[in-house]
Amino acid sequence: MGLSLRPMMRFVGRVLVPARVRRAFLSRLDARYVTQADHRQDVRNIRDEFRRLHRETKDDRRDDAAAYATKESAKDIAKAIAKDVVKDVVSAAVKDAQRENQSLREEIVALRAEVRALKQLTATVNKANDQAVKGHRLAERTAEALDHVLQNEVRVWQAIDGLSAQTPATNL
Amino acid sequence: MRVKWTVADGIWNLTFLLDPEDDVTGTCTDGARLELRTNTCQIRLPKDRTSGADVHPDLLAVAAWTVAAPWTRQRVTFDRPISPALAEVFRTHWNVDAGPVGGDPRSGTRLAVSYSGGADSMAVADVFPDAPFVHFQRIRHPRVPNRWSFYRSDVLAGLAGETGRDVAIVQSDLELLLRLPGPGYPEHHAVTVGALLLADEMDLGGIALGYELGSRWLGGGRYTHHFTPDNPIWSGHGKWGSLFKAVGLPLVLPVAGISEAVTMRLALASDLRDHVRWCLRGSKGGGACGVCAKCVYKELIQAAIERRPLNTTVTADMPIARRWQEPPPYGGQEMIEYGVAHVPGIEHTMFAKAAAYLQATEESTRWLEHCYAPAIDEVPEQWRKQVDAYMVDNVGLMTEDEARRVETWET
Repeated sequence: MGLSLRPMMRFVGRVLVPARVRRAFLSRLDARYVTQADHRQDVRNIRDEFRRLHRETKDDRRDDAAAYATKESAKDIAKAIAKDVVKDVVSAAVKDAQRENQSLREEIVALRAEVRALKQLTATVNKANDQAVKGHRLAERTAEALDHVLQNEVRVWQAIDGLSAQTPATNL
Repeated sequence: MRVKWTVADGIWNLTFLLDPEDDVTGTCTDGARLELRTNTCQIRLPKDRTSGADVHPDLLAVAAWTVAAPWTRQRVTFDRPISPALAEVFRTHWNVDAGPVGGDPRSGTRLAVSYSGGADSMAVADVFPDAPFVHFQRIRHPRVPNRWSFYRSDVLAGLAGETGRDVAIVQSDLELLLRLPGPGYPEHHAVTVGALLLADEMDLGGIALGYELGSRWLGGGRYTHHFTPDNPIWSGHGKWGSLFKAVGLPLVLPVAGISEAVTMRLALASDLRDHVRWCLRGSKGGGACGVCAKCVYKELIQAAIERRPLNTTVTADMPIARRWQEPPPYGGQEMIEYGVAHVPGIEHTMFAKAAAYLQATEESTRWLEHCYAPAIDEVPEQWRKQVDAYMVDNVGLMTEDEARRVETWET
C-alpha cells in the first residue's frame, strides 16, 4: 500500500528548488505513491472485500451445515427405506412361508387320504390277485380235468365202436 | 384207426377214431413218448387258395397220418380210397394195413418251401428264391382252453407275410391234440399239412424243409445223437420220406448238408434277413425275447459266426442255463462245440463249463462250415443241380476228412 509523502514534505521546509524540478520531482513521486483518496478507497475496498469474504465464509458454513443435514437426512431416509424394504421383504417372506406351510399341510392331508386310498386299493388288489391266482389254478385244473374228459371220450368211442363191431346189427 | 375228413369254406376238419388195438399213448418217430388229448383238429387254408373238396385222397391220407400215426398200432382206414403205391408204403415201411385201396397216384411239378421264419427255412428260401412259401400258424383248439398264450404264432405269420414272397399261411390247431409232452406236432411232418392240402391247388411236386445237418445226419434234438444215414424222420428212403414220395410230394432238404452256423450265416446275408425270427415268444415290434432256451442257443451260434462276445442277460445261475452247467451230451451239441470254440470270452458266460467239458477249437469244428455232399445227393433230381450249385458257390463242400467227422459223430 502506498503512503503519501506530501504531508511530510510540509515539515521538511522550503528548500530552494526550482519549481520546474520540484514539480517534476513531485509528479514522479506521486506517480510512485498512491494519493490519500486512493488510499481511503483502498481501505474501503479491503473492508468490503473482508466483509464479502466473511459473508462468503458464513454462507459456506451455512451450506456445509445444510449439506451435512441433507447427507444425514439422506442417510436417515436410506435407513428408513432399508428398514421399510426389509420389513416388506420379511413380511412377504413370512406370508410366503405361511402360505407354503398351509399348502404343505393341505398336501399332507391329501397325501394321507391318498395313502389310505392306496392301502385300501392294495388290499383290494391283493384280494383280487389272490382270487386271480385261485382262478388261474382252478382254470389250469379244469383244463387238465377236461383233458381227461376229452381223452376218455376218445376211449369211450373206441369201446363203443369195438362193441358195435362185435354185436350183430339189431333192427330197432 | 379210422380217419374222416369234412370240408367247408376252406376249413378241413379231421376226426380220427381209435380201433380196439389203438391207444391214447404212443411214440413219435423221434422216440418221444406222447399222449393224446383229443381226436379232432382243423386246418384252415387261405381263402384265395381253397380248392374246395378236390384234394387227392393220398394227400389227405398222409396229412391225417401226420397226426394219427403215434396212436395207430395195426391198420388205418381212410374215408376215401388211397392209391396202391401209398398202401404199399404203409405196408412195407410201417407194417400198417392201410385202405381202402383204389385210384391213381398223384404227381406235381413245383417246389414249395415249408417256411417257419427261422434261420434254417430262410436259408432254404435263399437257395430257392422263386419258390412259394407255405407257413404253418398255430391257432387255438375249440375244445382246449388255451394255456399257451405266450406262444405268438401270429407274430411269425405276420413276419412271413412281410417277406414279399408268395406265402400261403395255413392255420391249424393240430398241435393241441397232444396232451404230453405238451402242444406240438404229433409227428414232425405235421408241419406239412398245409402243403399237402394245397399240393393239388399249387401243383406241388416237392416240399422243401429247413432241417439241417444236425437234424438230418447227426441225430440231433430229441433223436439219437449219433450219425444217422437212415434217419426214419428225414431220410429220403425212410418211412416218412417214402410216404411223401408216394404222394408226389417228396421231402426236399436243401440245407441238410450244412450246419446251423452256415444256415444262420446265409439267412443273415439274405434279402429276407429283416424278417428272420427263431423265437416264438417275441412281440411284433420288440424282436425275439432273448431269454428262452432257443434264443440263448441261437445267440451262441450268431455270436460265433460274427466272432463277437455273447450278447445276453442270461447268467449261469439262471434256470434256463442249468443244462450248460452239466456235462455233455447236449442237444445240438455240434453247434455248442462250434459256439464255444468261436465266441471270444466264452469262459465268462453261462457256457464256461460246457466249453471246459467240450474242449472244442476252431480247428476241431471247421467241418461245420462246409457242406456234407451226400445231403445234396439226397435232394430229388429235379432240384439237385440248384442246391449243388448254391452249396459250391456259397459254402464249399466238406473234404473227406471233414465228411468223416459227420460219419463218426457220436455224443
